[in-house]
Amino acid sequence: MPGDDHDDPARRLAVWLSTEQGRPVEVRDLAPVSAGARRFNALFTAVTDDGSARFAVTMIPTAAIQLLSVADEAAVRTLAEAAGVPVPHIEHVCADESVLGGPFFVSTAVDGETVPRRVLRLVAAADGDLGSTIVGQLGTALARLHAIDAAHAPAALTPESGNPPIAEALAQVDLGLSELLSPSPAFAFCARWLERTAPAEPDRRSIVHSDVRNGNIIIGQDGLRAILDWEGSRIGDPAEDIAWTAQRMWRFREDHLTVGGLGSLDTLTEAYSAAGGQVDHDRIRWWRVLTTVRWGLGMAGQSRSHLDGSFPSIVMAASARRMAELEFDALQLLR
Amino acid sequence: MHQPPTAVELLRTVSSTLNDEIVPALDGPAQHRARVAANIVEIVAREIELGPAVRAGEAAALAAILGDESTDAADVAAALRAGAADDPAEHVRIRDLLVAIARGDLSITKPGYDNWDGD
Repeated sequence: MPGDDHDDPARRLAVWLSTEQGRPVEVRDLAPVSAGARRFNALFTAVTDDGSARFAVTMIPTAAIQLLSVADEAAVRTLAEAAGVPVPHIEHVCADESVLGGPFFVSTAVDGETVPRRVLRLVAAADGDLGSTIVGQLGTALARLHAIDAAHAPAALTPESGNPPIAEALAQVDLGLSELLSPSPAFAFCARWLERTAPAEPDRRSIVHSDVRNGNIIIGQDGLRAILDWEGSRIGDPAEDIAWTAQRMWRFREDHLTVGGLGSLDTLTEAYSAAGGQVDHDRIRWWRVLTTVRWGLGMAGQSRSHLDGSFPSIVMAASARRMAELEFDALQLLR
Repeated sequence: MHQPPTAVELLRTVSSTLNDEIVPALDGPAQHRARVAANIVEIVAREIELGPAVRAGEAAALAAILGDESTDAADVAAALRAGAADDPAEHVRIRDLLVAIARGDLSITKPGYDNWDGD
């Protein structure tokens, strides 16, 4: 019933924060900002004897569907922050599901736009070429992330198979092909090309974010303020992160601006290189094809989750009809 | 025999009702799901209208890929996975046929998406 303290997430969060901080913390204006399939994000104001400040809480509805534990995700974000990558600072981590109904962490709220079309509107209205500024900042941020000694990463970031990154990615593609309910000659063609043109396993394995794109970044008038959503982080080939930023899907019809509808891939790789990263254009192209195919196979997998009842959802049901977009994009990259 | 509207006309009415009346009345995740529902209905309407021609075009392209009149997508996929397009000239020829198949599917699922020649 309304007003029942035990059912009020703001109240439960306030009690937990007060215990963590050893002082009274009041939680005000707790408001959801996004509810993805996997995680729930909300902003709130915390009031203490020091004054008030804005924070974000990220909750995973159940620990069973998390890719990385909140503790591991927080550890990666803290490593990235120390390396100079812009991320919202993690304040607290809570693995106890009884507080909010799932594990969560609390981070500093960062002002700015995250919704891709709003990001593009902000860029269009800005003086100068803010889009290229952002793309350069992404290149610098990725170089810093990839320079972190992977030995410092939590063990959970290493794939369970123990396969190196290229072999692991190829195995995932063949697994995805084998799971299709209807065959895809296009992706079979791509899988063969990926196999016979596969680059050597990378000299250097790094922490890769795996989902850096327009939609997972906070943008302001000054450009890139934070990279969000680190739950897919793992040890991999740094070229994968560069390739993923260039997916056509993240351009929102601004097809001529390869990275997120914001700027060119050359702008990103030049900044990456200037910040000490190694750029291999053939390797990036290979990863562009690989990640396009993998995403298309993932779309088909989402619809299987709907059909087999493990995740019934109209959004999941619709996903498989999107596979042709990824087939087309992958084939066009293989001209 | 039903009196009109036809199935396609009914689906178009469902999608316009969703887009024009239901979506604006909602917000948050429910609004997103209503948009997805409208899009699905539009896809199904196009599939009813264009599906037969698209499938015929796909069968013709599949038959041309291996040159043995095989129109079984599983057979074609298996041959391609095993290297049937490794030869550079075959790569180009078969890629073009696969692009044509994808364009057919996109005419149903996302018209206009195929207006892109790669980077």
